[in-house]
Amino acid sequence: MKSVDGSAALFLAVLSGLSAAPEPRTQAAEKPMVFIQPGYPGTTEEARGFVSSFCKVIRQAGGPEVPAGEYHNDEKEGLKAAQEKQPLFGIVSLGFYLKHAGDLSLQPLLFSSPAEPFHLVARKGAFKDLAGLKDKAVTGTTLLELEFVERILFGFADQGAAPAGGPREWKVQPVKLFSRGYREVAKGRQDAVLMSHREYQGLKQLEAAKELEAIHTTRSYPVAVVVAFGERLPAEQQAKLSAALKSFGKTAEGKDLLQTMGIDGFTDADLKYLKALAERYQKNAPESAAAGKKAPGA
Amino acid sequence: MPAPNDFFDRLLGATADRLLRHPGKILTAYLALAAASGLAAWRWLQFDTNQDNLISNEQEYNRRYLEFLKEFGDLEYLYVVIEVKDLPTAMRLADRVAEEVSGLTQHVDKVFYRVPEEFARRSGLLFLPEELLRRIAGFLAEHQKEVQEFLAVESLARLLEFVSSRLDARLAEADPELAGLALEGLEKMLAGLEQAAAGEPAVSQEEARGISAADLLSRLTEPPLKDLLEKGPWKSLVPRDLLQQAAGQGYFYTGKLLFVQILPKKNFETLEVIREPLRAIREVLERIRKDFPGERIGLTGRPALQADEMETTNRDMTWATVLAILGVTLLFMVFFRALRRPVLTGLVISIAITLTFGIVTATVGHLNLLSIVFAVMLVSLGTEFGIHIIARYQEELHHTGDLEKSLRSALLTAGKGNITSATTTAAAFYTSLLVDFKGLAELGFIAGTGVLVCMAAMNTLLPVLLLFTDRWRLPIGKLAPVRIRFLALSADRPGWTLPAAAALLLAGSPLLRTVHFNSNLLELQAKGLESVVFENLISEKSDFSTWYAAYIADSVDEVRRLVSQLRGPEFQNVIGKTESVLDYLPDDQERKLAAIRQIGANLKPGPGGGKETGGQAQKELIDIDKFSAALEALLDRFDSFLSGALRSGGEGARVLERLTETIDRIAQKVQEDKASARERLSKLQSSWLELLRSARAEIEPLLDPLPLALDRLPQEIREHVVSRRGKFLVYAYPKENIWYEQNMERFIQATRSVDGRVTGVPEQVYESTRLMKRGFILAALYSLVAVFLLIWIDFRSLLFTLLAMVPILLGMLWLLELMPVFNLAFNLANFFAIPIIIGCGVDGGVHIIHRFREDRSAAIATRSTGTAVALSFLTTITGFGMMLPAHHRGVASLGGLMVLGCFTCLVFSVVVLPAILRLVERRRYHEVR
Repeated sequence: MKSVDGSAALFLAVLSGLSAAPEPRTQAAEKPMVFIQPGYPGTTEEARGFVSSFCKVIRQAGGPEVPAGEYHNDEKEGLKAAQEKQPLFGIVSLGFYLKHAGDLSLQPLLFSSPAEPFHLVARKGAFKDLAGLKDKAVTGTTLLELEFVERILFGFADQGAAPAGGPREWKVQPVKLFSRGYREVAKGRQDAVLMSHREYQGLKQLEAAKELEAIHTTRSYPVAVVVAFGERLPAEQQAKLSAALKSFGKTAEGKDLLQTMGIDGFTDADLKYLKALAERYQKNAPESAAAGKKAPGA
Repeated sequence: MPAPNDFFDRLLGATADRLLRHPGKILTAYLALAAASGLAAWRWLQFDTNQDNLISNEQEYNRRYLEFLKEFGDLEYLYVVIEVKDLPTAMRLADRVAEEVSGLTQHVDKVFYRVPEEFARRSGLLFLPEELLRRIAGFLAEHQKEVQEFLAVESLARLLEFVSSRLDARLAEADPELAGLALEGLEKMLAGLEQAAAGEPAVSQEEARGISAADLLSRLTEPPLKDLLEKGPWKSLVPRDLLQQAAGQGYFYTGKLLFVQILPKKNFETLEVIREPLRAIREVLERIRKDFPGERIGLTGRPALQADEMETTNRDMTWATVLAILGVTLLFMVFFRALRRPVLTGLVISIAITLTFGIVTATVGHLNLLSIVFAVMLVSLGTEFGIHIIARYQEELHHTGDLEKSLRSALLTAGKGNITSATTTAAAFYTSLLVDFKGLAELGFIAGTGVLVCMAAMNTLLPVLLLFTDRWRLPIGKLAPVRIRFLALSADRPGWTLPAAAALLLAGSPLLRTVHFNSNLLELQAKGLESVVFENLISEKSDFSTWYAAYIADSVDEVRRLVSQLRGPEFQNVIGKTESVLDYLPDDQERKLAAIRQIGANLKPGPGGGKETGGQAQKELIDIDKFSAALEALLDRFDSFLSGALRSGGEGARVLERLTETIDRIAQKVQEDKASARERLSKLQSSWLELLRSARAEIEPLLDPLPLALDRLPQEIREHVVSRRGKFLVYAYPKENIWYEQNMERFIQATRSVDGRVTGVPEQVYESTRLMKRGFILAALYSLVAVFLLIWIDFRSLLFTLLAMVPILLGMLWLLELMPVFNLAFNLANFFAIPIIIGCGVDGGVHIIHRFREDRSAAIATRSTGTAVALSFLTTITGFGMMLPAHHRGVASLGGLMVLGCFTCLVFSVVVLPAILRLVERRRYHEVR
């Protein structure tokens, strides 16, 4: 029988603290780092080992001394942690950054690389284009950051946005676990699922992929942004952090951690680009905010 | 014809006179003696087919072996061998075999195939290493909470919750391979759930009861349990043979084979010692095979091999004898152009053999496994005396037309040659009395005596019969003797013949280095015999053997010392399994008992947990909402794993996809029709809980073991390792296949180095083989010396003695050179052909020289006596040649060696020797002239 692949088991193992490094609890006096990635798998508890390893590798690569960190895949909890725990830096989703950059004084340092698109996937032959999704049930973990989806992923005319079109026309049903999402669509219980590029690539090896097809692909975006929280991390430390993170691909342990995150590495953040995105985010904001349309469950 | 001037001449002359004057009395006397001999043999002659009796009791190794037999009784078992494809099935097969064979009380003494179940159940854990027991106890103590949780599982919902929570922590921490194994197990469990939810039978309660801890244990050597134990954290504590032992649960199991040992009742007074028991057991196996069609099962063991060998050789020898008689008769008819001569010769041979039976009955009293073939030998060896008499008689009759004169002449000439020939052949056989091998000595005495009796009969009774029959009707016209004319060519051209012979011998000399002795007795047997096939299977697929070295020890301490030495690293490639009372009396019992009690304490359910399952759960319906919730939680866990795997690009996602799909389908089915799902899953719940309950019930006795002591061992085990007088037996099995000489040599050296008093069948076979080989070589050497001396006494001339030896010496040399060409090697079956070939080979030279000295002409000697010599050899070749198609490869090789040896001696007798005699003739007699 096929054993669980090393990478999957590794993800689980690392996520659950298999690392030899101790798992120190965050103390009030110590500033941690945070991961805030809505829709990602696992729990804060399960990810302790992963975060601990991450911090260790940063230290080993000459980055700042960070004793511990936390992982959150729920936006509200992540926000709470960011506000209460006073982290020095974090790795957040692009959506979280765009939404809370102002609240939390987030300073972008690095992007995850490569930038990747998102895919809208449905049963084969069910829909010719986005227009067919009007009033249809659409699911996926990405929809947990509905604003990001509406304002950025589908925020450009050539990307299917319309005054009354795009995600605002769908019956949005976000899920916390990606595999639930595609399975619901494969079984016909939902009409389409929005997924990241990595998830899309992963889906291809499954049996379910035979019944699904991508009906729309967005532009490419970095899935994660490395940010400093305000001025807590001095510039010198920021530089060290950036250098350390960019060197992750040079060590075996670093590579494993990157693979677990589903990225290849880190590059310098393109501030102009981010600014353009933020402007777009704001520009596309009022209608959804004014309509009061909140994503259920988000 | 030379004038009668020596003792034999006078004796033969007197004999001829008596024969011609009182033929009726001679015939009557022979018939009366034959009748008396036949009756005596039928009444009193015994067959001793016990191989152990072939060796003298005075041989030290044989004495030790007989003492061992006396102390422990016959331990030479038959083995029913079961090739294991599926261990539980193989065990059921073994149970069935044991049950049915045990019922054959008139044929079977004992069946031993497993440690008694009750013993294994109560005491099984005491045989685990102490370290392992302590680790298990420690592990259970460390995971007390989880153990209690598991013991408290009383519903499917709780089981799913338990699994789900363990996945959370355990799968994440586990080695990827172990994780894979765990998932495989889970997959099976979920498949069962899905079947049950769909209304298909998964595991019924009956099946659940039948799936016992024993069945589970038997799976220990198969994936996935085997992988789990060999790759997990336990691997350093679980030696491979322990897994095998545990899986075997006291059955005689070696990993790929399962054995049932049977001790048949043996009757050494019949040729086929265990024929009836074998027949009965094979009938049982045939019946059982029909009920287990895919299973491979067969019977082997030394008694079976010997019995099969005996049956095969009997059949082969019967056919060979019948064909030999037909072949020789045909040859006679071609040479003498009459049916009467071979019929008379056959009659005389029969009478001579009957007389020999009588002598054997009066002297040795029995026939053994070697001497049993003497009759077949005498047909070939004895007939040639008749050939010489008839040939010479016909030649004289053709010239003189006078019956009585011709008979007298034949007796004085060919008869004299017969005496020399018979005495030399008999001497060749009698020399085996000088060697230290009882079986061979008896054969030598019987065969030598038989040859003399045949010669006497051919020299006396055959002339009488010729007198009677030819007086009645004299076949004058057909008396012209057959001549093989081209034989004279070689005598006339010694300048060609002798260099050609020398060149032939020289060319073949490099092949002498390749002549070898093959000690592998199994390779003598007929191919395809079940006992042989399964004997080879045992060597191939296990480190067990049907033979073993045996040590007798006076105390358990001595046993311990022996076993410790036998298991030393220096012997690990030579000595395989050992078996002794220590296998049933584990060390450190006190400490092990303490660890087992601790395990038992940790496995007791805590307060509130482990309420009566099975019976009670059968009555309760499943709480479908709780079940659905537990299923949902499990699905969440796997979706989390799968999502992570997909995001990080893991290939193992497929397994997780299958699991999530299965769980999802189950959840859907439950949601679609809760009522039906409740009913179906309730049945499954009952079955699973019954399974758990039975497993607990089976484990409980293990956790309350009785300390083991010698007096508490079950009888069948005690008898196997302790004698009635309290002596202990240590078995040491060879690791390699000791049917091969080099492996046997290594095994013997190893076992002797541990203790020189070792005994057992390997020692017996090794020493017997050595003794036989030495005996045959010595017998051959003594034969040559004896033959030389006797011929010299007869001829009183060194030159003619050496010339008479030419066929045998050079014939043997050429035989050795030709053996590799025909892919022949010496072995224990054909080695005793050497004295026979010496006896036959010298005859040719003796008769040719006799005739040469009579007529002083190589040409005459060649044409007349040469033809008779050729016929004589041809009858021997025909007789033994009928063994060539024998199924028993040893018998076939005996035939091959005899045919080749007689051929080489024939060539040197009638082609080369006459050429030498021509030179002697020219030098000696032409000079005189």
